[in-house]
Amino acid sequence: MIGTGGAANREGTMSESPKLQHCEREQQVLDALLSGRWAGPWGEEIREHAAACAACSEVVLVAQALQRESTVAAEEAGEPGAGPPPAGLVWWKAQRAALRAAEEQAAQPITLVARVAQAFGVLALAGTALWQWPRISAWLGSAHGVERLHPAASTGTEWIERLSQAFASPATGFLLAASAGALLTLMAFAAYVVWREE
Amino acid sequence: MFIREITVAELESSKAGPEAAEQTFHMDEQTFHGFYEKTARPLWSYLCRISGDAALADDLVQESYFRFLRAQLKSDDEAHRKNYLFRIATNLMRDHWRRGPRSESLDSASRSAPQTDEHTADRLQQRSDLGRALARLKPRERELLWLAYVEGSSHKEIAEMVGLRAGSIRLLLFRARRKMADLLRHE
Repeated sequence: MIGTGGAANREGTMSESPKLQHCEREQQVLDALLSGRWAGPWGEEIREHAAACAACSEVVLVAQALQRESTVAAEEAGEPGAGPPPAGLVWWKAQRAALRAAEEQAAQPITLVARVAQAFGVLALAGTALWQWPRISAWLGSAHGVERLHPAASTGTEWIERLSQAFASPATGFLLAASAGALLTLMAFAAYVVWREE
Repeated sequence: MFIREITVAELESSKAGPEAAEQTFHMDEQTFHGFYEKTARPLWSYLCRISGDAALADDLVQESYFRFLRAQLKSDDEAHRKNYLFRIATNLMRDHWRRGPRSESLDSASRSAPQTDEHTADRLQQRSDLGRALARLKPRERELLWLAYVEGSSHKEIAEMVGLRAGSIRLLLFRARRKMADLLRHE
């Protein structure tokens, strides 16, 4: 508990609350300390008050200790290699960081579109593969059978025939077109990303 | 992204002219230099003494100014600018404590433990008597005392800076002051 009540002060008044005792002149005391008026002749009256006031003497004790620490910290901040960096460096770093943030913000929609395109490409391939799975399975099975029976067939004219048949079928044609489209989309975005990075 | 991640190479390769930054920031370079010269050391001292970590203070100072520059601040009043800067710094320091693996949140700390960050306390204890007293205060108490008794901020300004109601500052400050005075008397 600070203060012993009555001995408090001549001009200021102490709050009677036991929980929160304070003096009306605390702010004056603090202002005098912060402005430097405390130590000079103008501060004599306030010093006398604080000497007699428990609340104000506590303000003086704490404020003077913190201000001493502030002075030490300010000296540390002024030492070479310590303290805040030069203003010019902070300005340029801030400028660069702002530009980088602006670039990232501007690239957000493009990145989003690229990811959506990639996702659609993969989904299109997977969907077509599932949809045409019986046909693909039969085609792969027959190709495997031909290779097993006639190894030379894999390089012969039969493959050309099979390819032309595949293109002739609308379902397989769609499968190939979807795959090629997805691939081209991916390549275009990859080229764009590379160009942007450069 | 933290501003400390910007490298010297990036700075040198930057082709951006000053007009680009002035379009992004709310003050020009010359005004910023003047403001920085007046506020950088007090801000660094505040962050260094509250956190007990000079390296952290370096980082937070730079990040605070970057965020300050990016903010859409309309006021030209220097005191308002300074208060806003300290508010950013206080929030950044609190975010750092929240993220830190060794520290706990300020709110939970202020309810239970007498010290939030053991390392902060250790660093402060190695210093002066005042350092030892500061180390035994909660970060919130250190913030309040420093802002009131070193920066001379009013209760309303402190409330804005630390994100509390103005009405509660008086009581919190009184308790912090009493605690600090007791610690100083017993050191």
